[in-house]
Amino acid sequence: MNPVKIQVRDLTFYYGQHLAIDSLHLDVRQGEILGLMGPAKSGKTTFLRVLNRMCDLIPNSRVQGNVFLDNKDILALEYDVDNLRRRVGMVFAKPVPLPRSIYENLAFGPRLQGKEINSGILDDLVEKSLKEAQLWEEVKDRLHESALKLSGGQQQRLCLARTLAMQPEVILLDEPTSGLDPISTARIEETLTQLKKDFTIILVSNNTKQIARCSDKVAFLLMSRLIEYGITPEVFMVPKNKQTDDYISGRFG
Amino acid sequence: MGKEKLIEKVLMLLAFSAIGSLLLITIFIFNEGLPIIIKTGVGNFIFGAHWAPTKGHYGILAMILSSIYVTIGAMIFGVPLALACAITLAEFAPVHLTRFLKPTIELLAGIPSVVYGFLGVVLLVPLIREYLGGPGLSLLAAALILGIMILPTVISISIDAINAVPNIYREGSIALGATQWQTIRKLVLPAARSGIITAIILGMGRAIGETMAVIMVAGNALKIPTSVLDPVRTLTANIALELGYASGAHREALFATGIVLFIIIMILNTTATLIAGRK
Amino acid sequence: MRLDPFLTQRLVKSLLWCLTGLTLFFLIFIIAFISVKGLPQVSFNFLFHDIEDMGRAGGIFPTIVSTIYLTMVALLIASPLGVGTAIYLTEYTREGWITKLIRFGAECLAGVPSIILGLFGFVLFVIKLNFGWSMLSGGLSLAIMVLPTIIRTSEEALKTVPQEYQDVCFSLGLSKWHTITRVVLPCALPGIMTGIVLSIGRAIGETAVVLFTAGASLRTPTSRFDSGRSMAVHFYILAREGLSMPNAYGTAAILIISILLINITAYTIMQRFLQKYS
Repeated sequence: MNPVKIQVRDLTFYYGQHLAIDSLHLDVRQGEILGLMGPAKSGKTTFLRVLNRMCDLIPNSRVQGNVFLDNKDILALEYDVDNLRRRVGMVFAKPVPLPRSIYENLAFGPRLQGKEINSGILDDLVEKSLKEAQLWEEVKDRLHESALKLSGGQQQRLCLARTLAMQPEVILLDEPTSGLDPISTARIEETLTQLKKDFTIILVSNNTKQIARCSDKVAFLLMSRLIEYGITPEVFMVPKNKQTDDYISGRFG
Repeated sequence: MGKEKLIEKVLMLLAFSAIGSLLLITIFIFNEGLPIIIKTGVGNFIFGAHWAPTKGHYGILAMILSSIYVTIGAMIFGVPLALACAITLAEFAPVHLTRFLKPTIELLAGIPSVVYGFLGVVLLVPLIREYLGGPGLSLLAAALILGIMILPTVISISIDAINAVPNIYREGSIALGATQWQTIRKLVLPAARSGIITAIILGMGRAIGETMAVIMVAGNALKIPTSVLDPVRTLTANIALELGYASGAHREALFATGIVLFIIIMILNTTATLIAGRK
Repeated sequence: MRLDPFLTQRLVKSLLWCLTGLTLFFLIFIIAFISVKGLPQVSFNFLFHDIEDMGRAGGIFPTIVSTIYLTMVALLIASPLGVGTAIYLTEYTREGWITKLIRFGAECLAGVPSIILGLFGFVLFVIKLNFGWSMLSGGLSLAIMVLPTIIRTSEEALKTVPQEYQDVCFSLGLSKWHTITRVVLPCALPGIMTGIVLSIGRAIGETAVVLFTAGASLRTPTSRFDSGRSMAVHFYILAREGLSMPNAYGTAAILIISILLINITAYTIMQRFLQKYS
């Protein structure tokens, strides 16, 4: 069995007075995809943002509990947040290509790590990341064109490649296919399945079928609480909790 | 992390430059001018009709009145014209015409005041002298020139205010059978009222604070005007004309004039901000 | 007797169009008149020769240099202050009493009449700090005058940069300051430039502030402590003293054309910037 990459213990998060996450407790193992499902406002996106400390940017928020990445608590005050964000990459729901060329979008992150990167290494990194994101064939001849010209699905794969260029250990995806057509969605799901052997992936989705297709483990969050957590085929076929069953069957959502 | 905090503190310091400058201006002007106001007595200073600084008389009533009259005149001339223009461009003119004309008008706001004054002297003053009598350099000339000067400001802000009224109001009114003008008069203008009032007050502020153009056409005589053809000296002109050679108490008196001007403008601007804010 | 509303509308419309035409006529006439009378004056000699005989003859070279010098000083001071303020307001604080106070200060400052700024510059820079009538005193005073404009336009420009760009940068591990300097500022740059360019236009045309802080020396300034007369001041003196009508018109023509070109540039930059984001 793969080693545990992330351990979440008693995680609680407040937006002002509003409780967004209530005593969350789970493990994420290396090399697996954890799917996070649940209706809107159940705390899924908030949880993702705790994992890369983007929650720090939310005004009036409070976090309690511990989140251990490789046995170190990332919520500790002295933890190097910038470094955390390089190890834990994030793909947002809406594709956000930077207003630059495709090449520059990918080179942006690595360049700013402060290392003197010569162009040869950068070229290789760009090509590798684009291949991993399954975008290379489509853009290899127009690397220096503006990224804004790509289609929605391509832009999202670009964002994934951009995250991969940072060579992270964990990849967080927040409803990455919510605005995309079925073909682009399928391509991204396929990419994730290929990627998981080298990374730890956490995928948030409103689409239960996508979670069923892609993830190895699944956590069901409802109104800030973790209702059920287990191996995907088990949770979907024999859910232990009635609420889980109702959600999967679409009785609410 | 320390570097980030430092950057934030530096930026905060920069951010207080605007309010810091304002404070400095207030402090220095008051510091220079307040003593003479106190020595002369506030009532005597503001309501004294006699300004003869070399002889120790510091009464600025003539100038306060002149400033007020000139500004009122500028408003009488400029505001109707500006509103007419704003209504026409915002409501009646085709969109591409307005899209060309509005920035053009704003461009014209950039014409320096000395140029307005110059044209006033060269073209307007002789006309007044010829057809209406008097020296030409007069209250009337100043009011007219200032009225033209404030046109771009008042037009531009009024157009914004009128455009801000949601189209739904207009459509509702037309659907009931009202003409466009009726809609404008009864719905749009009242809805845009606070924006238009802001525009007018800002125009007023510009008129009262205007110096160079007024110096060139107003005549600068030191008496309380009794007719529009009389030459007048405004508060601003008073300061600018004498600052070059004033010293000692005389100079302090000019700063004191500045204090009065400053207070009047601050009141106007704060009023405008409050009205705009209440929207 | 109630007038038929459609008739009223016709009458009103005619009246309004007439008045609008009158307004536009005034404004365009000003530019046309000055250009027609002044452009013939403008020649290579006029632009590059020294002032002679108190302005009755010769060119206006010293005034051009003074104007450029003063504007440069003003921008060098006001740009960092203004853009820094805008960055602080949009990126480092939320709406609260601090931001309201800063904005209040900027708006009040915008309303201070130029003669008061002249008085202030006179007492602080010329006298108390002993800079004398100089490019430095004039530039500092002009900087205060244009500061509100730069703050306002910079703030608006920064606000148009999508928040998502910043989220992406943070998620890649970028520090806040680097996010601002490498992504947000470059995106907002055209809008910020517009504000700076507009300020150039205002500074060039300003007389009252400059007259009492930079003086009216006829010589070409070579250092920041030199006095000098800007084009606007020169024009004012020529006109008031009646020294030379042709030269006055010429100076005015250059002044107006420069300002118009500058404002058109600013407007064009702004239009292209808006197109990119909408």
